[in-house]
Amino acid sequence: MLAGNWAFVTAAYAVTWVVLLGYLAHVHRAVRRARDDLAQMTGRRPGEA
Amino acid sequence: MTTLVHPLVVPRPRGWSWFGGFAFAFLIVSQVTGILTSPPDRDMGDLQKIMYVHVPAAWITFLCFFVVLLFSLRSLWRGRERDDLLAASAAEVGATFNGLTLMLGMIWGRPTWGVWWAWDARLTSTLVLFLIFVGYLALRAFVEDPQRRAQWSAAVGVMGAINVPIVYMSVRWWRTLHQVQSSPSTIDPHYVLGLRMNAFAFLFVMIYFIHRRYEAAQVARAAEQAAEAAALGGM
Repeated sequence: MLAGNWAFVTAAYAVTWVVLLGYLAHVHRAVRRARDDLAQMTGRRPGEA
Repeated sequence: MTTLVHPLVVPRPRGWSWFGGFAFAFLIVSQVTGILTSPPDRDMGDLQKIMYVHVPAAWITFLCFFVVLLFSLRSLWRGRERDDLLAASAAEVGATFNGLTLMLGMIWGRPTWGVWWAWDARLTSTLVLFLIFVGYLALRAFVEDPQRRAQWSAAVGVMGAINVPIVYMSVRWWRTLHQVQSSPSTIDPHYVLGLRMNAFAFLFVMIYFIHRRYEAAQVARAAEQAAEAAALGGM
């Protein structure tokens, strides 16, 4: 029973990190894509003021 | 009339990367502290450790939707695009934490109740909240006119956020499977430190996520405006 419980605990923490890191990657991609689009529209390199 | 972001004035916030790194490092420290410092619960055994991620995820979900409520009302009142983008950013982050809360609840429910899912008042109302905000995000994806998108999604955001108190009180109004709310005042003192640290860690991660999502929305909107201006020959 104890081993079984730890499997669920491990699964819970694994799911937490998959969701948080997955969302982090999604947001970083969204920022990069938006900056690329903006740079393309304005004719400037990303990051250039 | 909405206030527009100038296409070339979307700052690249450097300090926030450090904050994000700090938030995730603090999350690791909090989880390790929670796991190592708490003895097994008398009834639940080590399953209690799921509380350190499940309960903060639920609290942060509620907080995100409170932010949605606040900025949706401001958006309806003042018509500023900034408020609309902030509400949308908080809604996406809130839906993510809401989904996580549901998954963690299922993982906890299987060994505790013997089932992955039950149509319990708390579970069902949390699922309804999740579906409302998935609908909110779908609505934003399908409406192209920024002003209509802002108004319609603000209305859905306000209605969705009204469900938060119902979800919170559901365990008291309809006593079924889910236990009443956990908080530092209702749990054993051994578990308080881990719960508090993890709650703050989730809060920091939430702030970072909302900020980054808002940055993405701001830049995307600026690109849209630059495209519109180019199409009208204004560039």
